Amino acid sequence: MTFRLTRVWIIALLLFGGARAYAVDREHQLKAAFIFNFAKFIEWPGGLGDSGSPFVIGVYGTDTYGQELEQALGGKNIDGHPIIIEEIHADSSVHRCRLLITGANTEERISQLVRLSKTSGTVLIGDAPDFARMGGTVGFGISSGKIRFDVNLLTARADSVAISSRLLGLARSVIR
Amino acid sequence: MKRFYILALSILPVAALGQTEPKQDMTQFGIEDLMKFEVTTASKGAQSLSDVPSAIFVISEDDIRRSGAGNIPEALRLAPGVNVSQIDANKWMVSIRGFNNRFADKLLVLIDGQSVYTPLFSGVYWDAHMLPLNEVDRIEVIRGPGGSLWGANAVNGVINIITKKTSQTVGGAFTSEVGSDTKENVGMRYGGKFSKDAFYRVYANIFASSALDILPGKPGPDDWQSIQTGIRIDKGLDTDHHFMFKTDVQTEHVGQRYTRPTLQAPYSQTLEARYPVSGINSILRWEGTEGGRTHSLQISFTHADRDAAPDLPELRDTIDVDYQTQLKKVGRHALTVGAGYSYSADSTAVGVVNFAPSSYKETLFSAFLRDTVEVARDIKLQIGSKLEHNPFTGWEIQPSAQLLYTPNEQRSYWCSLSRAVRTPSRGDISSEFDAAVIPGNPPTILEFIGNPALASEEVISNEIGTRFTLKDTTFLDFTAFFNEYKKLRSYEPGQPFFDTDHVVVPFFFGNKRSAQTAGFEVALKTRLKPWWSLDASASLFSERMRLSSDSGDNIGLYTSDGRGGASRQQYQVHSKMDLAHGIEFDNSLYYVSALINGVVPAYYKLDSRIGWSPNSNLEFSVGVRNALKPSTLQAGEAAFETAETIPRSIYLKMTLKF
Repeated sequence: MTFRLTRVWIIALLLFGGARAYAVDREHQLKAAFIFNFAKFIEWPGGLGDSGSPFVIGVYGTDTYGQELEQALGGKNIDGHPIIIEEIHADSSVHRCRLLITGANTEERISQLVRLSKTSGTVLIGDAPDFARMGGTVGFGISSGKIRFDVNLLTARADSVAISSRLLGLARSVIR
Repeated sequence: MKRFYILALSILPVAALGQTEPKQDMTQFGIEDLMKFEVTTASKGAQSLSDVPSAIFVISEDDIRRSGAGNIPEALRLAPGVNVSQIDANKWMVSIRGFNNRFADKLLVLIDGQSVYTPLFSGVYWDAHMLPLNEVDRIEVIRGPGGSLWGANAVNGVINIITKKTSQTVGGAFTSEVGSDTKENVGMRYGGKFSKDAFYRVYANIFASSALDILPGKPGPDDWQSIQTGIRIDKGLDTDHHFMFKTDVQTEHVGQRYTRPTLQAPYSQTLEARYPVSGINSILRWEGTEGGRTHSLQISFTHADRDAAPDLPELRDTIDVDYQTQLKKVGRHALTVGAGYSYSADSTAVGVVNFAPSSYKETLFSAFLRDTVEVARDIKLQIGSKLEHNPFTGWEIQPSAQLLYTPNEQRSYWCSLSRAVRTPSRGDISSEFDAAVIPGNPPTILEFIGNPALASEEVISNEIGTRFTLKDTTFLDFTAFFNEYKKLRSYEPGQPFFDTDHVVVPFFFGNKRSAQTAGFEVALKTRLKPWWSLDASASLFSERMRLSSDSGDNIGLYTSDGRGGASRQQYQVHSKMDLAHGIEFDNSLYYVSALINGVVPAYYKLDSRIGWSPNSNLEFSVGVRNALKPSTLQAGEAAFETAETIPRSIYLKMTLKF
């Protein structure tokens, strides 16, 4: 009996594990597309620099996105600035990024990153619950099976980045 | 056990293949569109489970493609609670929750927000809207009164057909279908970019279908050729403002068999007619967001030319202007307000039905207000009303209230109470036609005559529903309703009189019929395996028609609108399998019980399809429609029109994107 159950479990795991992977894949594919859209609705202090200069999207302290960002956004550009996806390993590299995807999930860590991003206008994007409420610029959430986002306008203002009112209109909540 | 193990193992490699479907480039979508995608989907399309306190069902482009439906009325079968019967090669009757006939008049049909029913009889000529199916992004079907938002005629529901944004259709697409029934259906579409945020799309579609057989080997006159072309432009003016323009132009040749009464034996004759129809539909829309407030202004124009039709010849031009704004949320209240204006001018010719006066201009004004109140964190109350002025009955008020309780993201419960009206159509007011001749010496003509004093038909609708998502892969929706209709159209006999060689019994349109309908609808979408989805629904319906005691109507209950062309039970199951090597195997089985008016027996309908995509730009499919029987009768009685049996048909289809 135990033997039989084990087999059933293995099969079930294989099947539903597959389904799960599919779902996560898709979630990050979609989030990558959101991120691409965010970039178009945000204005950075001093613009994006010389034409042709890279638009760096950093990934810091999270590996949940895997290859999805690279696959979805690699080779694309924002207003003529080619998108570069970079894995960040140290606080000192944060300022190089226009957007920073972070796994930070505590208020303390997020406020550290907010401080680091202030001069460079780096926009912080995270998946942690209440990410925006804890000070992150844009936090993803899921409602009724669909992706939603919250915006912390206070952080955006402190970073001197301007977020289009159209983007704010689509946000689930705006902290201001 | 062993057998189970082997079965499971044989499934595994297929399951693994199921997930390696070609990845879509999601970055082509805007945020509004991305927000519609489900992350963990029961169905792949953008199924809207959103917090809507009404019985909404979304038919996605993928649902349509995999159902094998060849046109919009056939695709509408996919929604629960919708009654669809094909009358002949080019005619359908479509309604929601009963009252079905060719001129089903308690339903509002919109294409991109533009109403497409003719005010002449409040019915839709489905043949005149042969939108290629790959133009359609989704079809939203709202069962139940939409009157408080959409206005008169949304008595039993609203069908909103939404076409794709041009940013979704960059590049070219060529589709071709050939088959035993559809002789050819060839379409070409091309979309591109004018500038960074201005996109366009043009399409052309040529379609021809064979006439159905009246008797084996003897085709009728209902063959059908149609050409439809269209253009659409979307332009972002700046990040907060958006502009859209589209025009569809259609010209077709349709045919039909129809019966009209005569004074000589055998007192009725069946005639055949083939005639041209053409139309133009244009929409200009502007949308904007300012400080959390959104507005939209839509101006649309319709030109319809059915002047050569034998039954209801009509030429019509309509202009609609609609403005809507969603105000910034204040406290617990989110207000939406809107106003509309519509002007429609027609000119009719001599046909089976005649109109006095033969041409007419009507103007409608309307305004609506809706307040969404956040009563508690998980309870929302929506109250609102539409106020509309029409030339026949003056002001009409259509209020509604809905309560939505969402204890968590997987579950919601709602209930709704609303009043809606169907205002008299031009035909109700001013038409005249001979319905039948009773043999005798002298013979007697039963003549139906419109009534300028006719009041609006009314419904009070009670609905209750719940939706939930189980384990991220299963979605369930239950809805129950009870509707009470008053002042429905009846046919009241007047004083008979002699006219040279015959007797005329006039029947004037009255408001002396009432009805109660009740029903229950359940829809299920589930992904059994990563490669196998199953959608199913059941719709149960009952109706009771009654004449008020002072009514003299002795024929109304026998007409198609007196005894609805709907059925008590409808069931459907759709199985969609993604097999190895890009092969799809899809089956749709429908059961429709006998129509309540008794003229059509119960039938099953099976549509099967095998699709193959060698790569993401190419797809071949072969399918069969109405597979179970050589031919099936779906509609029994259809105003002025002879229903034909619908044959089994096969088709081959190819789609190439470039």
